[in-house]
Amino acid sequence: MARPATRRIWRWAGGVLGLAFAIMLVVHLPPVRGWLAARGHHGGGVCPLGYGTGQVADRATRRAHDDAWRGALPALARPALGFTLDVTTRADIERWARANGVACHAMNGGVRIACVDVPAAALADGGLAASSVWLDLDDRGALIAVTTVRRDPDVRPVASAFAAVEHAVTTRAGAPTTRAGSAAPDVLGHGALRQAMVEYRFTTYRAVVRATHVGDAFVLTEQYVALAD
Amino acid sequence: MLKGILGLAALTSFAIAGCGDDGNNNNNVDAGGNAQPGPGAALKCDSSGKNAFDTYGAAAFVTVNKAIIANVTAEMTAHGTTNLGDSFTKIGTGNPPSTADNGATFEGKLAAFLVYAYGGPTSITYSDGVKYTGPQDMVAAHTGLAITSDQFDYFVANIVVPALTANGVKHGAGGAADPDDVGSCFAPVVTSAAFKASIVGK
Repeated sequence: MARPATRRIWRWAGGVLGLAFAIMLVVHLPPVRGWLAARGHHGGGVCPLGYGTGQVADRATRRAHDDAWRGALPALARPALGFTLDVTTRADIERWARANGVACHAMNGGVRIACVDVPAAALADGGLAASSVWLDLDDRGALIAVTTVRRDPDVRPVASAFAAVEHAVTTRAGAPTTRAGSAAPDVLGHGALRQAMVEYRFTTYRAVVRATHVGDAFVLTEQYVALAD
Repeated sequence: MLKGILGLAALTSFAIAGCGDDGNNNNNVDAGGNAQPGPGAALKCDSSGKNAFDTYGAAAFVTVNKAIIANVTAEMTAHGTTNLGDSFTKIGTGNPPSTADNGATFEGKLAAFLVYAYGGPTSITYSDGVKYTGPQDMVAAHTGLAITSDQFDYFVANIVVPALTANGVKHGAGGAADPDDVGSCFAPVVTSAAFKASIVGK
């Protein structure tokens, strides 16, 4: 009598395991992942096989880390190229990308988004086009950092973009904490690895802007970060 | 049946691959196995008229190397792989094979490479007491990492330049009166098109 019951249990267990395995396979197929991502399922959970790299630090962990970058005063505002830190969502970014014809792809299970060849008009400062825009999302799916890389073979557009960004961030957020080097074209253009840098540190906001002579071109990198409070 | 198992195996590997995301031929060694001088050996620093290694010495190179590692760690802690890509997270995994070295070996080899590249000896004993060789195959060291041009530029601007300037490498207006050693004896190696080409897109 016990034998058929045991067999039935084994059959059920095998069936359940097989079904779980089949579901695991299906949800990892790229077209299915894309379909899930479009519906807000970013897959940021832990991969039981150790392949997951998309874990996002929780707010307490971020807060502890962010203390190293925190300033004493609050920012007047937290400019981030038209995005709103701690508010803009993945869906907002997808809408922004569609509206501006920008190609973006999700990385690390969707918690990071990389966009390429972003026209200047798509970024609020309207300066140079960005060859890359990288966006970090937190564990709630809200934007916490925007980084851009822009380059130009001529020093003048980069020098003038640096000055415009510095002016805009200073006006909107407050005075910078650190300033180093000069973005004047004759200084920046003087030799490779010349760099102008300005950094802003507030209680919940950090921005770092660098104009760098990289030899064959001039590169402007900007980073706007929401610090966890 | 066998076909089914093979098909399932193929599907499995395809699916698991989707679960995450996301050094040249050693041109520095001649046919006789002798290392040629590093690419920065002939450069002259504004401040001394000598190359970077002879100007700053081994201890300064170790300091700058550790600053590069610290800057990368801070960047990865703050932003994960967003800005620098996932190359650094692969160190020690062996996948791709260029990442087989563990973190300590990677750090020591980077120091040895910098020392050699800027005019120092072809091998050094690093702070961990291990001897590392400077001349390295940059293409092989970066193969399979798919580093982009923007990631490389971001690395130079936000990791390398701050590591140099924060650790005493002179970065004045240029010339003997206000030396620019960053520009005169460090920059040409890092910013050379050939060096970038040996790292990007491999």
